[in-house]
Amino acid sequence: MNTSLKDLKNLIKKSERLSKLYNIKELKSPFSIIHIISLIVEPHSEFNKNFNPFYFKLKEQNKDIITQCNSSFQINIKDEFSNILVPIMLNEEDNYINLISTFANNAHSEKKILREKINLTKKFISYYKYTGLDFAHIAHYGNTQDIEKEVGFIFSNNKKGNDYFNNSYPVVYEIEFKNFNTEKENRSIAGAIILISNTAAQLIKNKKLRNRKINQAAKLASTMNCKVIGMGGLIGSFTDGGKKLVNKYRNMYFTSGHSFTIANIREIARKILNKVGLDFLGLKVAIIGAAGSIGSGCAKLLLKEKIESLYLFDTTFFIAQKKLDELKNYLLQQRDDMDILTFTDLKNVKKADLVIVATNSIEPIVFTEHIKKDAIIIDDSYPKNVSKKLIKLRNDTFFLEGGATQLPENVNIYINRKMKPIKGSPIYRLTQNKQLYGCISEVIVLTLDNYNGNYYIGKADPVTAEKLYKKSQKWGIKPALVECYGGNISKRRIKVFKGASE
Amino acid sequence: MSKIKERNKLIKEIKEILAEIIDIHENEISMDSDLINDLGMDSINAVELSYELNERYGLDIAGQDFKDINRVEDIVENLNKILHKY
Repeated sequence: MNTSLKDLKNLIKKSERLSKLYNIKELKSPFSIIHIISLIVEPHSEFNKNFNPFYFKLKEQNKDIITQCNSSFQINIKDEFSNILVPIMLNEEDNYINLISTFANNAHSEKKILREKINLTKKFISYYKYTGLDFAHIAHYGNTQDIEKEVGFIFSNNKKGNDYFNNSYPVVYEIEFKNFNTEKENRSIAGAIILISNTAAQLIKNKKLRNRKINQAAKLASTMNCKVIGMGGLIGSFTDGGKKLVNKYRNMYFTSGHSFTIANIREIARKILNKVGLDFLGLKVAIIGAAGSIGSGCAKLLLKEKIESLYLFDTTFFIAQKKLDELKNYLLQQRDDMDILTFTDLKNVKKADLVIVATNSIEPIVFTEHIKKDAIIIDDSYPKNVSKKLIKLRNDTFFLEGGATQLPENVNIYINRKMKPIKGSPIYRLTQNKQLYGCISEVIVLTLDNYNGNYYIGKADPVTAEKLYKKSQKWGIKPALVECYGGNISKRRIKVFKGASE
Repeated sequence: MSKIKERNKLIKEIKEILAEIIDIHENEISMDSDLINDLGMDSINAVELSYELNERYGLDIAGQDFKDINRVEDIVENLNKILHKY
């Protein structure tokens, strides 16, 4: 249910009062206001204690925030306020009003209310000065159910549902990391996670839609003065690793996330092999999606390891065989003692001890008949290419997230809104376990290193991957062993696997 | 419609689809154009093309239905065979 106009007016009044009282004049972006709203809406919540930087500021001044913040507002006022900010910052208020009023019982009256809310919000945000954000990360949702959880209503496959997905605005989370330490430095960085409210399938099937939505997200990052822009999900692939955005947004630097991800996949493989008492020596490795940026990058990185065979798989229409042949020739030029085979169907995946999956497929393509007993599977795809059902069926194997990283324990994270429980979502995972995807880890590492350039655009590059991995180690970011759709790999699971394979 | 006319119509349609997907003018596409080297087709473009062909021609084709595809002409020939088989 949306906030009433009266509630919004009252909330803005209280927020301004609170800001005056504690001398809060400067914020990083308009989305930082949600922290102030949060203090008013739910002053005692654990979320504030854990994720609200102003909470501590107020506590330090020994003021009792409760006296200022007692209220009966609905908590979802934070979400609505955040949603209203997006079209305001994009100068697309009319479109937003038309979109939202379509879902109201009385469209005419809803339009009037929304117009008023937007005017109030515009005036309110002009109260503060904004210092800008260090980074932004542009990603999208995996499926419709995830978006339904986020926006709070169910979409039917009708005109209204289609209208929503065509015209919806991204969901924005402002996020701040404090206490990234090295021997010499202590760094804090702040950024925005901009989630395009469309699924991978919707974006892949409709070029005009995805171009418009990606540009909208980039424009939003630009208005927030974000310096480095990372790309998650399929955004890197849609923009040719960021190359399509570079010339249009010259005030920002782009990084595809692909290079760090391939190093992270290799290190996850090394770590799990080590845990189960194995290593790369003599291993048969399959890469599904080997014609793509991440898959071909992984193949190039694995050249350094003493694996026995490399099986390159890609089922992409029309271009797979040629791309696989090109990759195979390149690899053989570097190392001719390795058995390298190419396939355009997945029948022979079953030969492999280790399977790396990184495709653009919008649905699972790896099934139980593809996986040999005791194999290890690392799936970096988003949405996942291995199904939940397969994981349940095959407890003799490990299905690991390819991109998962672990932040150092001492890093504190502040987020302006609660993430809905979407498993696999970078923010949800972060709020639970301080874990991220490789793509967002890349933008964080580059921001921590005061990155200054567009060097990391285009396809995943093994040399860049090694550099980025080294940088990530400096800041204490490590590969994490996380099961697809699940949590950390337990010691018991490793023991069971070792017992079964002996 | 004669087989030649049908084939010409298919060529025109394939060029239109490719031009839209790859963002180039139809005149820049010839039957001889190499999908990767001349047109710069990437994996996202390839997936889009498959969706578009399935939708436009009411097909349910998979990657392995298309063999030895390098040039625009190979798509036309493969599709021509599939359309007649269906």
